[in-house]
Amino acid sequence: MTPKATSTAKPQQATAAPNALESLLKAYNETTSSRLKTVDAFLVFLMLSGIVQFLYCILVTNFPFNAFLAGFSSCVGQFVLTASLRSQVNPANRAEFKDVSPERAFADFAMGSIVLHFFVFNFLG
Amino acid sequence: MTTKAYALPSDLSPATVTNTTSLLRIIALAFISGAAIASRLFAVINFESIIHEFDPWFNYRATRVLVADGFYEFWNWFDPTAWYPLGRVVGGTVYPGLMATSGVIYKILHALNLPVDIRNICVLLAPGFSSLTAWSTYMFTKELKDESAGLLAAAFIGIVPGYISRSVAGSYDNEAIAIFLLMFTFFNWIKALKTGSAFFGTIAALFYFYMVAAWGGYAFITNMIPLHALALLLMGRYSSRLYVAYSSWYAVGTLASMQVPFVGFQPVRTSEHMAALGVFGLLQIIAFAELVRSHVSSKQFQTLLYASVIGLGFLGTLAIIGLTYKGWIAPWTGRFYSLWDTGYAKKYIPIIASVSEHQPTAWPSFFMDLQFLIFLFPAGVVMCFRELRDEHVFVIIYAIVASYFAGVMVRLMLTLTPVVCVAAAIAFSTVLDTYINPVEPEAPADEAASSEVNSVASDVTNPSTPTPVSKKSKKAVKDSSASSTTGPFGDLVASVTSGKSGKKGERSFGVFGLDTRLVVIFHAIGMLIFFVWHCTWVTSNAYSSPSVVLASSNPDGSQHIIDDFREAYYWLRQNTPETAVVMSWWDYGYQIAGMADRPTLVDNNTWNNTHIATVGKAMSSSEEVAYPILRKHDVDYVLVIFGGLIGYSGDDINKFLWMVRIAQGVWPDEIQEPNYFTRKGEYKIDDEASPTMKNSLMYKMSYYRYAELFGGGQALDRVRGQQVPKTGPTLDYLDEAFTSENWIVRIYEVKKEDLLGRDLKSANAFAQGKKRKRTKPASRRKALL
Amino acid sequence: MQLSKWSRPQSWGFLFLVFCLGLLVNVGASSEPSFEENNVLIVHDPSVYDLSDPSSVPPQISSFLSELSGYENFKLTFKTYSEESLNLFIANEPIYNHLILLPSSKKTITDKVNFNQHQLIDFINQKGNVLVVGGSDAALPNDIRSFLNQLGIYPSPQHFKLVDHFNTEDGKVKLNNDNIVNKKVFAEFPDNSFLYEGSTALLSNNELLFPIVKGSKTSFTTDNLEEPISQDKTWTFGDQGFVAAGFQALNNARLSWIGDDSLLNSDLINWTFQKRNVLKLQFVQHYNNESPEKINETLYRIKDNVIYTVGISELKDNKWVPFEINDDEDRLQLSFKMLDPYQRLNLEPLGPVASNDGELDATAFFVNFTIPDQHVRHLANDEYKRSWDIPNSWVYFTSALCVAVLWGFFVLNFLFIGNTDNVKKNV
Repeated sequence: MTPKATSTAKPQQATAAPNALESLLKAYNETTSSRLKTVDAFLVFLMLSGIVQFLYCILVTNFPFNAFLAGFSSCVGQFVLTASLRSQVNPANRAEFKDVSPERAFADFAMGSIVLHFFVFNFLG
Repeated sequence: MTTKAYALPSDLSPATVTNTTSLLRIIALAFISGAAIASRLFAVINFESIIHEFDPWFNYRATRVLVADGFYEFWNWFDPTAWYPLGRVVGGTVYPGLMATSGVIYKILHALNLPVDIRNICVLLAPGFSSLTAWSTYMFTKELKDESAGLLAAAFIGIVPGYISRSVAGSYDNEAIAIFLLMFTFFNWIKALKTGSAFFGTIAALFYFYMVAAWGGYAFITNMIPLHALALLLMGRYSSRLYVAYSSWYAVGTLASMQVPFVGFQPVRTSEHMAALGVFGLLQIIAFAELVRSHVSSKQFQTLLYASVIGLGFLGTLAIIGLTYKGWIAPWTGRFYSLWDTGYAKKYIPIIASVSEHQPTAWPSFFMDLQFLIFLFPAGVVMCFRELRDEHVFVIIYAIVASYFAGVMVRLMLTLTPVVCVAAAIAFSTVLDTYINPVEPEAPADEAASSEVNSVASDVTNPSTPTPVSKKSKKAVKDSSASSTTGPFGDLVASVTSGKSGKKGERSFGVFGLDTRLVVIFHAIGMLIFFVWHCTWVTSNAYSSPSVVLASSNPDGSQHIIDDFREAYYWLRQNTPETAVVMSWWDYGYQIAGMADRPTLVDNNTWNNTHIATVGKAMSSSEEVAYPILRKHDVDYVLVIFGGLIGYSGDDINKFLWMVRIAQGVWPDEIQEPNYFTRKGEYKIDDEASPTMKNSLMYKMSYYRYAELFGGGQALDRVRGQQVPKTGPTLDYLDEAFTSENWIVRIYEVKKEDLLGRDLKSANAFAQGKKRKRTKPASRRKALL
Repeated sequence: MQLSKWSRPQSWGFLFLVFCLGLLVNVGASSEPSFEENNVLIVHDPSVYDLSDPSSVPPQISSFLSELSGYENFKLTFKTYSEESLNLFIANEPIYNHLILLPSSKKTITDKVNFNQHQLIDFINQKGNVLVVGGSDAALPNDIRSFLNQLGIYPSPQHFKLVDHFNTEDGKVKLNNDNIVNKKVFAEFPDNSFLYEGSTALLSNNELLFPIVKGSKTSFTTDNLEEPISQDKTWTFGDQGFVAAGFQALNNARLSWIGDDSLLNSDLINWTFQKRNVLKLQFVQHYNNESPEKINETLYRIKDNVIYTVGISELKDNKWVPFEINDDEDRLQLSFKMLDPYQRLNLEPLGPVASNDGELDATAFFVNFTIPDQHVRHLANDEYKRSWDIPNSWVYFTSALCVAVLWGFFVLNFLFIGNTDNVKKNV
């Protein structure tokens, strides 16, 4: 889904890795709906934003720590909520989520995000 | 087709049945709430509506500040009268959940024009919330088994003494609302796990936040839920539901918990919270691996992925350990560390070791607090093994962990009580289910296992293969057990290890006849009646004492109230200037602040060990050494508790050795514990007492003029059972200011320095006419050049 | 006129410590000395001097007594040691403000009940001033001796006198201005020379006691000039012997003892009877530098900048005038402490001010200091620097805002735009 997968591959699989990666991307493109792709794009953005903040915190300064935690948690929190939404909305997972229809999943996601953002902004300032 | 032991009405429609059952459930819950509230009111009825014990007095004072001055003032409250002269930043060192709850209830009631006094709200908060605890336990157990078990669990936790001890009316402490929040958070967690809904995960996070705001024991939840998740992962039960539930709970909950000032950044900086973070990371990795796996078919890639997942997990753990080692992540704090290493506190942190609630639990207290639930408890846990859905794993883990902790510290019996109630309810409800179920087994037709009917109170089983065994009990099923019929033992094994299958199918095991049913059911009801009787008796006798007011009985049997504490505190309140500083041992700090409203030197918060050690040193040293300490801290009055006259054994002379130990921890050269024992090593207060003991301020203050009470006869100290010496101690630096009716509370005033610059001892000696032999001064002035 | 007992900020004690070399002052709510009656009791022994016969009275004593009677509002009462009723108190209230004890020839006092060491201690505890005159041939009554011993003054026994073989003139010891230890109380000897014959005293380490005039290094006290010096025959040696000593109790009562009546002079008398070296704290003001209008708050915060101002008057000729520090070595200091002396700050003079509407009668001193980082009130939760003021946090701010905004977009997209859920699977 992202280049991150290849960074964990061992060197001896160098030749196999590009093939695996290509097949991965191809499989991905074909099996996911555009809705899920939107979700994935959002997820990518969140991950990048989180990494940027983390690096900034480590490399530059970690003052004010609460602002860092607030910003970072908003990325991480939003990321997991969106990932949860993705797994709930994905038709392949219908069997597991018997009680949660996609609409219900979205409502849960919205509520969780609102609560999360409320705490984030309270913690920021 | 199936025979029934007794007839059931057959003309009821399912809708009527459902409605009636829900109505009965609601009525039952209402009765349970009523019983829960009622059984906690003994103290209010016997004595009065008063705040009990020590810690609740501080909570009450804080609530008064919140209600009077508003939330902003409370949030930033700096109390200059506590820990004089240091003051205490209350806003940042308190768990505000309890006070906020009371404040909100107060505001609501006043908005409805019901002018309820804040004291009554505080006193009755705990019983009110106990009914909510009963309801949340019902919901929790309903998820595990069914509604009937839920009702039983609610009834148990409503009246069980283990929980009542911390939630009687008047016990205005954090646990009053914390146990409700604990059970409700767990319920939401289980619901989130079962449904895989982020909604329940968020609700669980919100109530977790409320719990963090309310009680320091929130670390229990912080570690239980990750432990559960980890156990499920290790059992191979990873599922997207687990991911959704845990991630939503952790992300929102941790961020929310950092809003509480007292917690601050701890969730990312201390070892107690690292487990949650670790499991969170692990879940992300596993979720990602699962995601990739579903897209990739190459086996090589899969093995590679597994290896890298495990590698990453390992690296993460190493990182956490490394950060802890480097100090970036704080190690386990003393309070939690002493749970693992029980000898630690006594050596290094005597204050923690000296609290009576922190002592290991004695065996009898398990029975006293839980009665027959304690031996149903293992049975219930075994039942969970038989079912072994995700939520049962949780109960099993909770049971094991809580049992360990309850054995380590008396105070933690409270965290064991809910799981005991739940497990016992499951076991008990299963018994009742089996014996109420009117269906009787068929006449023995199958050769396989019918003859060996030991009426084990076990579930319906199905040893023959046609009906598939439930997929849910993966762990317990050994394939052999489902199909073999290797004699009676094999069947017994089969019946124990295989899970409950559907209600359809042939039965060969079961209960025949009405009489067996009746015997067991009546016995069960009898046990329940004994349980209720025991709980009520324990509550009224042992746990309903306000401890501010004592009761004893007169020779003629009538009640004699001993109200010395309040008498003394009100004397202080009415007869001393408002800024008079009172020194006493830290146990009484909150009560003095709450009832006498005077600045105190140390109180139950025990945050500054050096300050407490200073007070301990002053109490253990002679007057000459203690006086400069008293003057340095502007102490005007010293208060001691002495139970020798009426036999009150919780007095300061009994706690004296702890004062010595704590002082010795900071000043090992000046205070040594062996000096306070006789040469034979006994702790004595009579003629054989060591000189250091006799000269210590605590001894002098306790026994000053005590011998005079007995008019020349033998002065007996009822608590120690020893004879107090006839010539009592003399005090040069203190004046006796007040002694309560039964001599329980004694207050002394500290004399100001002599106006003529002499030390008070010589000044006193001179005033009494003792002639000094010296005609030349003892120390000559140095020559002034 | 009134003195404000200043309101003590609750969490620490403001200790106003005046640290001056040798300057003894009365600070605080002191009685108004020159506006009330001053009752003086003079106890004497007629067999030593008969006050009715002026010729038998030493010149110092008579000039002292006439000076005393010349003071405004001073009422003198004369009694002897052998009187039947010699009381200092009526119903536990002192009758007199000042007490003068002249030399006696006997060791006992007749009225033991009303005039003994305990009564004397009570007298000084109730703010009575005492002047004790000694003499080498006089016998100090036992009660007065015990009383003086309690304060730390140990006068030599009867017949002991100061001897100095190196500084003798006319049979008396020659003292000069170098022997004066405390120049503020006893200014100087006229012509820098003084011939002394009288008793001496040893002094203890009592902090409230201070010597006024000491013996020289080569002097000693003995009763027998013929025999050689030995430990038990001498009372004092060298610098350790003092011929005049002063004492000021914590309640500002004063006592002075002199070894011979020749040392009496008006400086000493005025000092003992609280007519000089008396300071008064007229007012105390403290306020936060940031909000000067809120005066004398009860609770300060850490890192607050506080301006602390006091007004001090000195009594001169029965009037309060602005107090000036003349000696360069003297300092007026403020000790600001909580448990341990934390800061000792010098106060700077501002100039004369009026403590109430009237003349300028006080000097104002002030100091500006920062409250240290002890546990006074901490910063409230909104008194910390807000995040948007801190540049560092803008990264996180922008990120959080971006997340929120993008989330909004995402929700809209999800709900209304991307509708297709099913996709043909090729795998």
